[in-house]
Amino acid sequence: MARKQSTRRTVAITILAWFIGLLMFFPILWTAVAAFKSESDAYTLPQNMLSTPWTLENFGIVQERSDYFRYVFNTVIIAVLSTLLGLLFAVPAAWSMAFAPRTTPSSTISGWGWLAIVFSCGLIAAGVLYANGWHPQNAVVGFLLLLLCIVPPTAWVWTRATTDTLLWMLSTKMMPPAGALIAIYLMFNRNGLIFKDWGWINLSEYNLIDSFWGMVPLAMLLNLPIIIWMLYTYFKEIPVEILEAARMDGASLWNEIVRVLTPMALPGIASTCLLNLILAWNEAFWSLNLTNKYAAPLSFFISEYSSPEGQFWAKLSAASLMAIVPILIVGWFSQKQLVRGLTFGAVK
Amino acid sequence: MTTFDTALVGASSQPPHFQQFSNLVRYGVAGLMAVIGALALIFDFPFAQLGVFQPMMYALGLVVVCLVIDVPFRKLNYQLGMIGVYLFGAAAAWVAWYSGGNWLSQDAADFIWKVTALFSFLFTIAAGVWNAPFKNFAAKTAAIPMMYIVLFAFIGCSLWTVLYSTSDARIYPLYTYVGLKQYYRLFGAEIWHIAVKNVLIYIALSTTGAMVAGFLLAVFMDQKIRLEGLFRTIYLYPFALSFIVTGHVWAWIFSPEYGLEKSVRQLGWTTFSFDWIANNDMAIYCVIIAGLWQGTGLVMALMLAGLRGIDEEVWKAARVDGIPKWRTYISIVIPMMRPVLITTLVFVAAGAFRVYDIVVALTDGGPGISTTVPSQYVYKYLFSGNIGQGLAAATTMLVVSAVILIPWVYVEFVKGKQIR
Repeated sequence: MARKQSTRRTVAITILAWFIGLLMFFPILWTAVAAFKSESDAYTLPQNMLSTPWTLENFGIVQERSDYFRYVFNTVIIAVLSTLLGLLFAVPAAWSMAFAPRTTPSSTISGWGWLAIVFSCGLIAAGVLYANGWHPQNAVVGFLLLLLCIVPPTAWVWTRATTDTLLWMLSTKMMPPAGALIAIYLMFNRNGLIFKDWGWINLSEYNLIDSFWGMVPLAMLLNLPIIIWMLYTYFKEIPVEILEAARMDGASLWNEIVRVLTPMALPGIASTCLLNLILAWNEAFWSLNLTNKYAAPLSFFISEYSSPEGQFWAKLSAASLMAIVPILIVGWFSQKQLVRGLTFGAVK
Repeated sequence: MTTFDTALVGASSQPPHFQQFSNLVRYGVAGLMAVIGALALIFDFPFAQLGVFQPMMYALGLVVVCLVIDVPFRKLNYQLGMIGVYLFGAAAAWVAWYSGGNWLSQDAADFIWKVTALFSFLFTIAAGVWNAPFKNFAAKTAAIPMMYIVLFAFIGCSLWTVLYSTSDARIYPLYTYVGLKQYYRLFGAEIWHIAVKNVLIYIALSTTGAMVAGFLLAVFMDQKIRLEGLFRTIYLYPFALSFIVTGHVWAWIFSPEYGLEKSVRQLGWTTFSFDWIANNDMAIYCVIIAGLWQGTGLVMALMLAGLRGIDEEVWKAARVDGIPKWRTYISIVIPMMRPVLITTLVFVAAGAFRVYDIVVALTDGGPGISTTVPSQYVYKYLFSGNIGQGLAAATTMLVVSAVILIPWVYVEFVKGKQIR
């Protein structure tokens, strides 16, 4: 009796799981089906899903109208290069967060106390400059610049452990990009006067907008905190004794990271790369606003089809499908890494 | 003299290579460097003839001099770290110098690069005199590149945003101080009020909705279902796809002529009406539904991790005591999952607060301006040549999210560490 009930329960749960799965997958499925229908048939979906003929013409038209493979190429370049660039910065940082021995405080004032002292000194300096007749802009910008030069070494010297500092910094990823990265946009902008003329190189002659030189570092900056965070969670699983053994055997820092740590953390690094590729692939806001032709990735390609005038559902669906298929496939074959990546290392 | 170091650092923690030289030598070297630095600063010696290359040569000279003096004292990783500090100082000085006239006056730039260079000097001297700060050196050195990036790209740019929100910058980011004028304008604008109202509705509903639905889904997934990994992936797919891509399907589903309304009517319920997307008051709820579709999978996965983290013994004990399952979830499991719940809540709420692409893909703020959100307001003014106004809105967003995030970060990372 009990056995029968549990079988019934299993069946019910399985059916429910499939139902929820279908519900979640339905919009994607709808896109996929509409992509294979003619324009007029697409409007009658989803009732006539099976009775209307299937066609491949949408893909041909989309490829003809806007060169799909060029956008794929751009997306891959931006995603791959930004991932590699990000790893370059992230691996040492994550190493230092995960394996740095926590030292005793080097003084009775904590790191943040020292930061506060430095900050108020800077503030006083700016006030003095202002009182001495400096233009407020010069006084304030001067103060900020000084702060930027003086705080990092001070923080670096005085904080007890790097982990706390870095975690504080990583929390900036949670801030709205609207606030944090606008300055970068203005720097990219040819009209932005920041850093325009550096004497020997005049940046207004070079446009970072719509170029890989602009998009790759930007994509790297957008995802760097997440890469570091992910790598940190992976590195923490590696027993520190192994690295200590390498150190005892006389391995240098370089060898310790490159020859010992990296091979051991390779699955983690691969999973991080996958996450970063997906995030860079999906990135929409900056690519829509900072590219228009030469370095435009797939997000831009989609937006070309969702123009308000004339609704081409079938072609839009075909374009969308072409843009998401790589992610769907890659995600399918690396389910574990996808789940762990998208939950920022929380789910193993 | 020797007690100076040992009192602070402890004799046993002294690296052996520091013992090779007496303190007299170290203080002598530090003093010599100070004299050289002072001379160079006062007389601009010997680079005064070099014109615009002066700060660069000065900084390079700094690096060379410090290295030559320093090399016998230190290990290689120390050297690399110091080079990093010097080069950063040099770069900052250089930037200050060359941008002088653009966004700094020439005098200010001059002053700043000199102070920067001087600081690099003082830093070296401090390091030479008192080596306590250089414990854990390699770890700190390895973190330097990332530290500078975060400081520049996130913190520096945020500070810049705050600063320029007090300017009347329009097309060009030029600074003319106007006080809080931009903020008065911002809070007087009707569209900003609509945006704030929308984002509050969005945060409230999508956060509660995603948390509840995500938790129920996680509980469901925890019932040992077959092909669990597969379903987890499928539930997470919406989160893995760009909403710019999937948004158009939702626009289609919500559309009265082509979407859900038409389908249900064709099934026979001819009076069925679902035109929220075209309705000023209801359009934001369409955005929320789509947002829930996208975000629930993530919440589910995080919650599932939390559920799996709970000891099997807890369940056994509850079963022995005869507590029904639902009661165990409410009274035991949820309180035990509090850290996970709070972290997830912060994640979802922070994501909801900066909602942008869903709105753009689905309604683009329409109909009219009824679904505008703060991020959109920022970009609208930023790209239409009213930078100051956009930055005022951005600053408001930054401040609000900082007020939410900083206590969380403090509790999660700082206080939690001390307890452990």
